[in-house]
Amino acid sequence: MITLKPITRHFQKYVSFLEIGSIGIDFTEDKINLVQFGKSQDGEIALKSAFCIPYTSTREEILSSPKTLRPILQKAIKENGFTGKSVVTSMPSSDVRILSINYTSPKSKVDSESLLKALSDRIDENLSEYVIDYLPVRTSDTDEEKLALVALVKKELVITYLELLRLSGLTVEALEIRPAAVKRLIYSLVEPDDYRNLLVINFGSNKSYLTIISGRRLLLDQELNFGADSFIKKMSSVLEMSNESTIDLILKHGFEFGESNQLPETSYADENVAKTLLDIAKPILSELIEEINRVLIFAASENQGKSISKIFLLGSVSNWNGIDSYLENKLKINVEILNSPLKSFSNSISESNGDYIYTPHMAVAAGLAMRGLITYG
Amino acid sequence: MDEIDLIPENYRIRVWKLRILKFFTLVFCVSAITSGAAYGALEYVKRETKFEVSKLFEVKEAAARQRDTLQILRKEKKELDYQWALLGGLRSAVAAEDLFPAIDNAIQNIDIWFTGVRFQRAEVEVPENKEVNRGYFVIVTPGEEKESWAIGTKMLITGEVPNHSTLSSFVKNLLDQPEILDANVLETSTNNNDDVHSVRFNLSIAINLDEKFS
Repeated sequence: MITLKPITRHFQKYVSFLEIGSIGIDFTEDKINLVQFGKSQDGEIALKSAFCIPYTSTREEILSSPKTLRPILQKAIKENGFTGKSVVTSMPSSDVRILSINYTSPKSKVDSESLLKALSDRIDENLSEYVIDYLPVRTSDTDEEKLALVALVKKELVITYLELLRLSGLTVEALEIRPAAVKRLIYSLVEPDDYRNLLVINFGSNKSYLTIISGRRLLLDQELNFGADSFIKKMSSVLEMSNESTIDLILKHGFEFGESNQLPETSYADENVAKTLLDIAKPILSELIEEINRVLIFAASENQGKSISKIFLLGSVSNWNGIDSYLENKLKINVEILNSPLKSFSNSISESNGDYIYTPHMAVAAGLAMRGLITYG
Repeated sequence: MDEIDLIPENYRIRVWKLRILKFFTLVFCVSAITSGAAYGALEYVKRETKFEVSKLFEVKEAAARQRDTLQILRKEKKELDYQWALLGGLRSAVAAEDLFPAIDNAIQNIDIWFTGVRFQRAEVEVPENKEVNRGYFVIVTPGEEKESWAIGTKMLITGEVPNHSTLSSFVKNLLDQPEILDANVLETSTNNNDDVHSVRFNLSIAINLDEKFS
C-alpha cells in the first residue's frame, strides 16, 4: 500500500508556512541548540524544526575552527528539516558584557555620543576595540538622567565568531545577546496582561542570569555566580557523595514533597530526603534570593514603584522539583517554570523531532529564532 | 533601536562585498564554462560539418569523375555503336532479299536481263560467284549462313537491255527506290553478234545505308 505521508510532509515543508524565520543557534556550555520557526497560515508562530547537538569535545574546541564546526552544523541543518542558511545567534555569555549605564544627554547631543562618554568613564579600556550596541531603558525629552542596557564585546572576538559561522556555511543575520532572545521568547509566551515587570532567571551550569523585562523594554540583565554545577558541588560536599549521586538524589526526591509536585521521576520520592535536601540547599539558595531581592528593588525603582509580577525559571535548575515553590514562598511572587519553551509552538506541521527538544535549554535558541517573526504591540 | 545587533557595519559591508564577488565569480565561472562548452560544441559541429563537406566534395568529385567517365564511355559507346552499325552495314548491309524487291520494283515491265551480279565492300571487291540464270533471283547454296549472303555497299550488275533507252528507264527507276543511294552505268556496249541486237551494260548500285539503319 502506498502511503502519502512522506509526500504530504515534504509538501508541508514548503507550503504550510507563510514565512520562515532564521535559524536560532545557541552555543551553550554543553551543546548546540538550533531552532527554527515559521508563520503558519493563520499568522501564528509555529515550530518548524529544532535540534540539539551535544559537544563531543569542549565548546572552545568546537568553536576553534570551521573545519570542526561546519560538518556538525551542515549535517544538523540538512537532516533535521531546517530551511535556509540564515541564522540569528548570540555569542557565548562569557564573551559579552552587559551593563546598565546611566547617562545624561543634552538636546544638542546625540544619545549614542553621550552614552559612549558615560561608558568610557565606567570602563577603563579603549572602546574602539569593542563592538557596542545598546537598548534604551529609560528615556526622557528633558536633560534628565537616562538609562540604557549596553552590550559590548571585543571586536576581535566578534569578527572571529562571525567568520567562524560564515566559513561554516551560514549567513549571520544578526548577532544578539541572550537576554534579548529571552525577552522575545517570554513576550511570545505570556498573555498581554501579564507582560509587565517580569523577572526571568536563567540557570546555567556555572553562571545564572537575572533578566528583568518591563513591557517591551529590557530593563536589566545581571550575571550571578550561581550555577547548577556549583550548587551540586556544594551539596555533594555536605552530603559527602559524588556529584553524580547528588544530582540523582535531587532529581529523584527534589526539595519538596507533596501530591501536586509529584512528577513521574519523583514517584518514589521520600519526604524526609526531600526535606533534608532542602535544608542543605537553603544556605546556597539564600545567596540567590539575596541577589533576586536586590534586583527586585532595582526593578521597582525603575518602574515607579511597581514590583515584579511574575518570575520565570529557565535552565537546568528549574527542572529540580520544589525549587519554584521554595522561591515563590520566599519571594512572595508567582513563579512559573518554563520547562519546555518549544511545546507551545509545536503543532501538526512541525518537523517530527524527539522529545529531547522540549527542555528548558532551548529557550535562548527559541528566542533568537523568533527575531523578525515577533512584532511588539 | 528595539533590537540589539553586534555585527559591525564594516563587517557587514565586507561580507556583502565578498558575497557580490562570489556571485560574480560564480557568474564568470559559469559563463566561462558555458562559453567553453559552447565553443567546444561549435568546434565539434564545425569539424563535423567540415568533414561532411569534404566527404560531399569527394563524393561530388567522384560523381564528376564518374560523369566524365560516363560521358567518355557514352561517347565511346556512341562511337562504337556507330562503328558497330558501320561494321554491321559493312558486314550485312542490306540483305539481298531486302534489295531485290527494290530492283524488282525498278524493273517493272522493262525488258532486261542480268548476266552477272558482283558485290563490292568498302571499296574492296568481294566476288560473289553465285550464278544468276535470269532476272534477279539469287540461288542460296544449302548449308551456308545467311550472313555470307550479305551484299556489300555496292552491287555491280552486268546484263543486257534491248536499247539504251530501256537501260536509262531502268536506272531512273532504280534511283526512285529508297534503298538505292546511287546507280551508275559504268559501261555499255552493243551486242551484234547474234541475231538479236542488244546493249550490254555494267551497272554499279550504291546502297542507301541510312535508309537501312534509320
